[in-house]
Amino acid sequence: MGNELVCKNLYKSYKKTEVLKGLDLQLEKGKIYGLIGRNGAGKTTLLSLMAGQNPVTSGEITLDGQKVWENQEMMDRICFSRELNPTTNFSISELKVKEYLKMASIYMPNWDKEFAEELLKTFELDANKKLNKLSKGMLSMVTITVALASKAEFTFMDEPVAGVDVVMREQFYRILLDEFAESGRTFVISTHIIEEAADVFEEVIMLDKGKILLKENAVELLDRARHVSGVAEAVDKVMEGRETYRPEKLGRSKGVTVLLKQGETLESDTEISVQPMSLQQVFVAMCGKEVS
Amino acid sequence: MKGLGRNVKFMTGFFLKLEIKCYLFLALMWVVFGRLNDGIGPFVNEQAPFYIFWISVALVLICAMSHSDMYFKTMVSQGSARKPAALGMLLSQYAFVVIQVVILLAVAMLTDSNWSLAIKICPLGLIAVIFILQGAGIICATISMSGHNAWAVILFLGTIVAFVLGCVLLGYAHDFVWSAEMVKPYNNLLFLAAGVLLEIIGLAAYYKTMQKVDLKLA
Repeated sequence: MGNELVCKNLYKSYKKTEVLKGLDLQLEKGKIYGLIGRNGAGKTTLLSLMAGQNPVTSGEITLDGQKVWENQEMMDRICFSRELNPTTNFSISELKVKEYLKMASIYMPNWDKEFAEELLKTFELDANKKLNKLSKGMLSMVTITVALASKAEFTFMDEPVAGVDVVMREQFYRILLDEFAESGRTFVISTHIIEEAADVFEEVIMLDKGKILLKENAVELLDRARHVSGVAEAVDKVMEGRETYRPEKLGRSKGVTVLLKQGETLESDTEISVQPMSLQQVFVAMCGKEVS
Repeated sequence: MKGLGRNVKFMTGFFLKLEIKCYLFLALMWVVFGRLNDGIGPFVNEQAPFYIFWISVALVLICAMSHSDMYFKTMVSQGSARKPAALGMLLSQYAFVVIQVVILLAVAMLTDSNWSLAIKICPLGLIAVIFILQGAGIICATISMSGHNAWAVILFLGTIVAFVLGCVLLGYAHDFVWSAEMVKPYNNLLFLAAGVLLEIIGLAAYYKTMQKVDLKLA
């Protein structure tokens, strides 16, 4: 095994609340993973565990076969750029942007100072401004700067575009893809803005209630996902024995999301309509509640 | 321990800033409570050095108590393993003590062995002890959290020894400098009792904080 970050049978509880429930995951090097899940699904917890910042309740996390927890050598290869919140994290609220970056540079052995300065210019961030004077979007751009300039082999970003305007979001995705193409680093990006980020993800990891619901190549997943609608009886007949999600009923009509088997096709006919789906629609279908 | 140097570098920077703030506060207190006459006493208010000393101690204590666990979390959240982070904090605090001693000696030398002024500028004894205790508290709790309780106990005992030594040193300084006319009613026992109390509060607070750290980092 090489160039892999592996989570085996992970459990994580905070007092009586079990957040991760026997999670298995394998991240290969040189991919952009999209980590999606509803609020409280365990995304941030999973990222913090994989970065060695949070102890597991049980289970194991290894990088190239070596444990990550308390292993500085492995942690040096991982950067988890957390969401900044100066109102709750007082220790950083008084720091200037340049001081925060300096601090990150101390801990990231491959820190690229020039790249960090370039990113600050691109994001129009004032390095002399204190973090507690920045807007939510600007704080997100600081976390993006830390993540990208860290040059860490495995870089985790938690909600990197939260509060960022659409122009800067476009910039971010472009820079991310450029960096990925150039360095071949592994990125795990947790986001709620699924539609926009879908084109960037090579693989999608869907987390639901502390478990991996799905981990699949994004293109292949969208090839398999279809929304089937029509008269309820006809839809039910076609769906027999298939993997279906989120049935929606409206009178005699019915709509349902189906994940076809690899290579399988399903075409519209006189009784049913078969439509391709976006990643966001697949996510809502798989993680949302049933609609009646 | 890999990564220790980085943690010491990070923390020493923060503590130096904290120290500068404390000196600014001390200077302010001096202006408020007393006046300097050739850099020494007599003070307008005889109790002034006592207030200055304890207020600055309280300030340092509050600052350190409220910031240290956050710095620890900051170090961890920036990619440090916990043990070097905790040990780094502890070592940086010892570095702080060394700096205080150097300042004390320098002031004493520059003022022709005016230890009275030197100790007023560097109320090092108790501050040093507090920092040592806090650092040890952090590391004990962290190591205990990592499942190495034996090491935590050894370090805790080491802390007690460091504390007693600190008190003895403080006692000497106290006898030597703050003799009768200034703080006669307040003898070494009071310092010792205060130190013990601070130690208990400090360690308890840190242990509690460290128990919650997982939740806060989540």
